[in-house]
Amino acid sequence: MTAALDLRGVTKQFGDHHVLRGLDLTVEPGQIFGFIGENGAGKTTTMRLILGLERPDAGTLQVFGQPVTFGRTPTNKLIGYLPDVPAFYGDLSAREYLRLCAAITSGDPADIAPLLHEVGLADDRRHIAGFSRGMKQRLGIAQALLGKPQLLICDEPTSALDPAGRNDFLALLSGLRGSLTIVLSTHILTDVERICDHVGILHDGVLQEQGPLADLKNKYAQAAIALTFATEAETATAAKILNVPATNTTTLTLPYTGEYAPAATQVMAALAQSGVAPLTFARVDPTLDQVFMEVIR
Amino acid sequence: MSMSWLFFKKECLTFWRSRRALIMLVVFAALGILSPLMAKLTPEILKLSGATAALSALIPKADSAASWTQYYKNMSQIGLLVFAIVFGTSVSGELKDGTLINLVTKGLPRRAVILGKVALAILTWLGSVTLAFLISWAYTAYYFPDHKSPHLLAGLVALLVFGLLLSAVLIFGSSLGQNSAAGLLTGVGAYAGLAILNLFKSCQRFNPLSLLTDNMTLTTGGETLSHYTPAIVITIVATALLTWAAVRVLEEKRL
Amino acid sequence: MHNSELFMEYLPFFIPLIILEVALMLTAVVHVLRHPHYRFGNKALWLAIVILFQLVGPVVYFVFGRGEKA
Repeated sequence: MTAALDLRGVTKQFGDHHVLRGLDLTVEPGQIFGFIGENGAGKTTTMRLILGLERPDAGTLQVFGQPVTFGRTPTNKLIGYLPDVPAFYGDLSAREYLRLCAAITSGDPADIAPLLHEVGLADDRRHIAGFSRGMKQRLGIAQALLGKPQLLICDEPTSALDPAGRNDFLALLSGLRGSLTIVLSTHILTDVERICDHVGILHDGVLQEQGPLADLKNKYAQAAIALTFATEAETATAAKILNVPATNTTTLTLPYTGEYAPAATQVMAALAQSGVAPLTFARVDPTLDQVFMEVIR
Repeated sequence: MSMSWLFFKKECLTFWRSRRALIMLVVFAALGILSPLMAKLTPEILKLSGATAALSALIPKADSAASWTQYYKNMSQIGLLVFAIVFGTSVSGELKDGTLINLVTKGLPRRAVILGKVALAILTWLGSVTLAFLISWAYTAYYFPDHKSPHLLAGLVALLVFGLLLSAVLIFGSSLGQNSAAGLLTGVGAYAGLAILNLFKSCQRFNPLSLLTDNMTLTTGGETLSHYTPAIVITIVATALLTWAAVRVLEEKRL
Repeated sequence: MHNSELFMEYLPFFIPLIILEVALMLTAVVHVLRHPHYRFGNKALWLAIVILFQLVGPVVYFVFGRGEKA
């Protein structure tokens, strides 16, 4: 099967600043791919390269098997792009702007009304100049989805939205699962955990790690059991019994490997023997934050 | 070509909605009224200021030539300036706002952006200058029904043709950078360059600037339009070259 | 000739000029009030500019002053 997106040895520098140093990246069709990295790691540059808005210094980029070329970029017909700060013409209405886009991509103007409805924008004559950031982001996703692209690329789409807007946006993306391939660049890891099935971690100009989210968690992050006690004295006692370093608080975190049940039973048995009862006893799942910190260390 | 038409239509719509069309309309209509008014007022004001008999011989007569002189002065000063301000940020504004990124990634050729903008600028110049001309003409014909300006169209055509080059210079200049002054500065630079060339008498037939400065010579019949054929040809060629150059500049530009 | 006669004689010039200026000024005033987002300056400043400076004020406002909601 042809990869939706395939980058091989992509290098890009601006002046003395090496942004990408031989980036390899593969996204298979149907994935929702979380492209994560710190601010300034080169996520936006990578996306602009994929869209032919920048010329790579070295390496090849392919979209569904077709090479990306700078300037004239036929592969863009397959891509819907939502820039981090989408800019529109303030003097047009949402519908007028989408009609312009549809005319450029020789898309069907009849798609506009359902699309506006899908992203939750009113189909009225209001001009974009009066739109809030959230409304502009909705229009951004509408223009990206116009013409039914096979690959949707979103650059930090949620960073400017309020919590409600973020929630709506992620639900919208999640609803597209299966109908197209999505690459979501972000540094907000909880967003990735919510909707992405695959992740790639960009650091130092290369992809340090990529794969299914679950695999990466297994590989890098450790599950743990969190306990809280009534007093610090009890916590200290428990720490001694369970053979973990003592803390000056009333919580203890016990990493474990393997299945939860046997690990938990073992801890409970040890506590029962010593007569110290925890107030809470909880399983802590591995998070992408842990994976991320581990990978970029 | 259909993409250029598409972008041109977008340009027209935003030109209208942003009130820039209205500005051009009002300013040029006002200049059309002001020109005959100034021709009529100037002698009166000089008289009121108490000019002596000796000086009154120097007071310009209020006639159609005075009116058209005012017209061409207004067009080449305030009119030109307002036009340059309105169109001097045409491309740079879009580069600064990032509004082209979406459309270009969707497959809009950058060529279409330049062609659409140059076309709108040229049509606006032709329309505005003609509007001011018609208004001026109506007043002048009524107040100064003399025969001192027999070749009205020759002067007007020269001014209209000059607008082609002006439009191309402004669009080219504004595509050079995000700086909103780039278009204006390029226009000023081009104007200064042509003005220096115009100091040489032998150049004047070939200099596009003559089409902006010698309109009264044409209007009064001191020179025929065909005398300036070289300048007209050079203006049209330069317009085409600058438009092409603007396309090349934008194609290499980081959006 | 009296000044008033002079004025009457020039009415055919002044009336359309005033109409043009006022029309442009009103358009600008309405726009300033209905779109309270400016590239710089504030509502009071722009109102003063478009009302006090005939022709020039509205031109400057529409070309440089009008902005978008963030």
